[in-house]
Amino acid sequence: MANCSWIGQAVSWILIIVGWVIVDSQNNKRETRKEVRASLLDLYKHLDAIEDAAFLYHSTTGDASEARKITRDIQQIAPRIVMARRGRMRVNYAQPLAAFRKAVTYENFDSIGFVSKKPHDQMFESIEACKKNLIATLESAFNSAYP
Amino acid sequence: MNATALRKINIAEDFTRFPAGRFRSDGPFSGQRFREECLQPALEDSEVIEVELDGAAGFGSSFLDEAFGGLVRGNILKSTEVSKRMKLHASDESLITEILSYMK
Repeated sequence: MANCSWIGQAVSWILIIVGWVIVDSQNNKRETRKEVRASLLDLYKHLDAIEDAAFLYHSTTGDASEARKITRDIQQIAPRIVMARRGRMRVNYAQPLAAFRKAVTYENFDSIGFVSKKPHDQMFESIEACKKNLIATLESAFNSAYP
Repeated sequence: MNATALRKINIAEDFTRFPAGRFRSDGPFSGQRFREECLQPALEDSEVIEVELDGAAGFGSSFLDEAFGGLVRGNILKSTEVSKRMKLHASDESLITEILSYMK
């Protein structure tokens, strides 16, 4: 009889501990999901700011200091993605980020041949499309990791 | 010519932390200048070159295309030789992806 009582207590403790581990794990996943989501939203604001800066740069005077700022801001995208994807999120950002960088800085950038673009220029549509594609890639990765 | 086996180039330390522009006429730290003064001589002297991209304050695509793509367009390096003779290092994978696209 005493043996059965000991086993019963052990089973109860095991169930309590297992239950705690499961709940704790689920809580951690929820918190990680929230953190990743917050990081991504912050990154999207950063991308919007780059797009706005690119529009200003290409449609006005092509100021060298603005070009430097844009280049530096684009450089910060990859580290932000790496930080945001902590946990289970896997994302192949290389190609869409390369396309975004190219849309902003391949033509008419850091160039003595700079020409001020009209607001409806195809370049701005391309920048917007590449930004949206990068965001879509990140969102797809997020939804796969945190269904 | 006694070619060394490996030559390392750190863009930020050996050229500039602020690469900008495609041609020499665009500024003092252009892709053209980097190619002509750093990459080409290194490829002439070494079998393999390693290029470190970290440390610079970002790259414009025009710089990357002229510096690296210009090697292939100028027949300094064949596109089939790129993987054997050039090693690129960057914590930002998109830089490597972009550079290799210019060297096809």
